[in-house]
Amino acid sequence: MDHMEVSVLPDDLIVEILSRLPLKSFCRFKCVCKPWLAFSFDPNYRKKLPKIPTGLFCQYQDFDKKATKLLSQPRNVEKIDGALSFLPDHPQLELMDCCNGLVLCMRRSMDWSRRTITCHFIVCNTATREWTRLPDTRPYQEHAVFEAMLAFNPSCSPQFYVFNFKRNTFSFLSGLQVFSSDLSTWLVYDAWWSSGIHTVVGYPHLFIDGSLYLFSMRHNSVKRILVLNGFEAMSSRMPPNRQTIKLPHDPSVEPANGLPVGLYTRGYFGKSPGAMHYALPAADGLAIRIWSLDVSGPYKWTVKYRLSMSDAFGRDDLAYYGAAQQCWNCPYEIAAIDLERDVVFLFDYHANKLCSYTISTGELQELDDIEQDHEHVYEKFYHYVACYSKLPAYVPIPQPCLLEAKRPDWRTWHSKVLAIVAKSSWR
Amino acid sequence: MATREAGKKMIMLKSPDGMEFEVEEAVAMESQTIRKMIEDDCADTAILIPNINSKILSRVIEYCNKHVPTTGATGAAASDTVAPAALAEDLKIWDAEFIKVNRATRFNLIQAASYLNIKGLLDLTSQTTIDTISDNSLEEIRSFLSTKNDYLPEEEQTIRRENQWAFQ
Repeated sequence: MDHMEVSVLPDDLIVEILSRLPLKSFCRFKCVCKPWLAFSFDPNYRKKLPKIPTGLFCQYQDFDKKATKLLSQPRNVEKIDGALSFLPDHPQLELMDCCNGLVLCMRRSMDWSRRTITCHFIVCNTATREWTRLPDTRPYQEHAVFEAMLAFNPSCSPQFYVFNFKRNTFSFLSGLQVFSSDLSTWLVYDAWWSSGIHTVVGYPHLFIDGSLYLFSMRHNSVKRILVLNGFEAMSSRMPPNRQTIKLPHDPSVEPANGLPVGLYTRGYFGKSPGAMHYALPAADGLAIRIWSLDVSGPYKWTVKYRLSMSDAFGRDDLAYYGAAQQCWNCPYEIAAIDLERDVVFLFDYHANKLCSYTISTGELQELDDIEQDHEHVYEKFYHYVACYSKLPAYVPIPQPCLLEAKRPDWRTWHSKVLAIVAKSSWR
Repeated sequence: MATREAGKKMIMLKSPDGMEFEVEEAVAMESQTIRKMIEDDCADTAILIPNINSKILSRVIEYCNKHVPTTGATGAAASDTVAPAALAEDLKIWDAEFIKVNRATRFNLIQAASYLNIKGLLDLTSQTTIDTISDNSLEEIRSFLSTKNDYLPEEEQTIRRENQWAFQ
């Protein structure tokens, strides 16, 4: 009965076999062929297969100190130390950002004689428990507030960058200092940053394919997305490139019923391979729209999903008027979106809990975590996807070594142009 | 044709190549698929097992015969004399011998275990397959599971870089 001999197994049986692999081997097997990679995102198969741990990294107030934890749905098989207890000084650390598996933490110290503060950053990989201390930043005036961002993508490069913005009194970002793991030092870009027409407020940001996307706005004007890229040029002390993209929709321009809206204006970014997503609750909070944009251009948004929150919450009266802030508020905040894993994370203000909303089924579930203590005051959430690659090895410079970055003046541009001309004529 | 023989209910299984196998009902019910048919009273006459040839079906029956829980008068007597741990050890050794088959037969057994829904056999066949190939190179895995590398060179480079840690 040779005609019945099987030489190729159907997909469901390949998945049956792959499901028995440990995570590390499974990640190697993903490189066998495209369909095997796609199994992890297939709604029929993904539950069965080993999963890279994902979740929400949260910072909350634990009595008198800040603490962190990792909430996941479903509970991760691989234990990840969300409390970051493997880091030195972890009780004094503040969670600043999370990017493709790396976590950025900061501790500040005060120089009482000079009345200045210095930021001490630690970048760690929670999955491998590796960590590295960055050189100290320059001293800042006391009471300075910072917004720090991490840019890391192991599929592009093992190097990472840390952007440390200083927030001015209007919560616009003023000074900028960038750490490049490649150079092992901080570069100061204050002049370059302030010469830009856009200033950025402390809103969510995103790093994909070598570009950092930030919310930006001119004073009292339309919000846009500021794109920074070309970080490799920083090794020759050149500033990154910058450009802006329009947001698909800005409710603060046309508030519902002519009334000002609060957190509605605060959309959230997400990503999937080659695409960026933007999620924003409708003015009445009853739905969340998610737009997508191809990051390789042209920068054109298309609506991808419209998720009914009235169905998810089982209520039609979601928006409420906040007398204190004098604006309409949404009872939930988008904490993260992950379209690849079919999930939107929401923070429910009334219940003080984090929930996961499954896009395909419309189901809203409290995050499955026994530690989710409703007394906690959550302060920050970052989407986390574990990464097991090694931190780049660099030689830390013990003394703060600050380099004022070159401004691209006529001569540098001229020499660049000459170089390009020379290259093309050579070809 | 369910018949009775020495007080045990028998079930007739038919392979598509015309062979008939008479097995005890308890043995046939190791397969959840057949169990459902029997419980739904769809098993009055011989049950046709599609897509599984006689060679494979006989091996599946051999597996079920070995793994059927020993209950009833004779079974109770057997488990009184042999310790359960020793029985489990014995089964393990038997399984290891049973799965020493060529690649095609193993794939056929996986398909049969999946169709007939025999968890133990599916575990055994899949796990053995994984144990065979888990340390192999990507090219060897592709050839073993008859799949082609459809990544473009640059795509392969990216996916390998993303999963670099898994190659170390």
